[in-house]
Amino acid sequence: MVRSLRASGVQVGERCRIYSRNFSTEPFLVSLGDDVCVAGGVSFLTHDGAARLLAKRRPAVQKLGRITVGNACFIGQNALILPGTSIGENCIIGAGAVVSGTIPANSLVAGNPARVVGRASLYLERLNRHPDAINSFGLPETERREMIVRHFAERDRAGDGQ
Amino acid sequence: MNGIDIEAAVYGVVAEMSSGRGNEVGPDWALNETHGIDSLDFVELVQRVEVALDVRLPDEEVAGVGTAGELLALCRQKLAEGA
Repeated sequence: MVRSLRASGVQVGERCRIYSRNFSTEPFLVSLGDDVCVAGGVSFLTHDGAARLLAKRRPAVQKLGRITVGNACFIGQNALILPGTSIGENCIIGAGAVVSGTIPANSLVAGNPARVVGRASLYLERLNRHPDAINSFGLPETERREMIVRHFAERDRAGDGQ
Repeated sequence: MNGIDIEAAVYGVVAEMSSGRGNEVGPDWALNETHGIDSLDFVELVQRVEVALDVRLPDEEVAGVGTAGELLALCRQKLAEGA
């Protein structure tokens, strides 16, 4: 995925995980830093299609905008990143957020329109302590599945399963 | 800011962020999904408390807070340290 995105002009940093191909019609306007994770369904929109309504006056007009994402950001499922957006380092973008403008570093962002609700670093500290945060990533699939099923069975027995 | 104001500010924010029964907020009020406060809401709750009290609650300390009473105690501690 990263290789094909780079070939299309997306600037992709090192160690990125990207599960979306939606980099608009100007992928060369999108820049991702190092250690960025982009979940499935995320869209980077680099133009304002409403400019087509000006076609009678300016047949070739396009309104474009660059998108930059800083190092170590996570962009959640189905988020939409609008043209002209700049996301600072260490940000977490919530699932489905519609993001525009400048997002300061270490922001937790959510909603439509997206807003900064707090510090991403606090979200991660809290997540790290959550009872359902278990060390299952990267395990062989069978082992991983068994671990997860066992975990929730134990939670059920304890009476606090989600 | 006196102690009563701090309690009112903290519990007020918790009540606003809690679903349904926010008027019952007290020391044992759990800051979790039981009261409609998911992990994202918790981060927003902390930010709103910090703004209301003009205090900074370090991530590693506030992340372990489980109840409204624990949050209130941490706020009082940090305000005292900063006084």
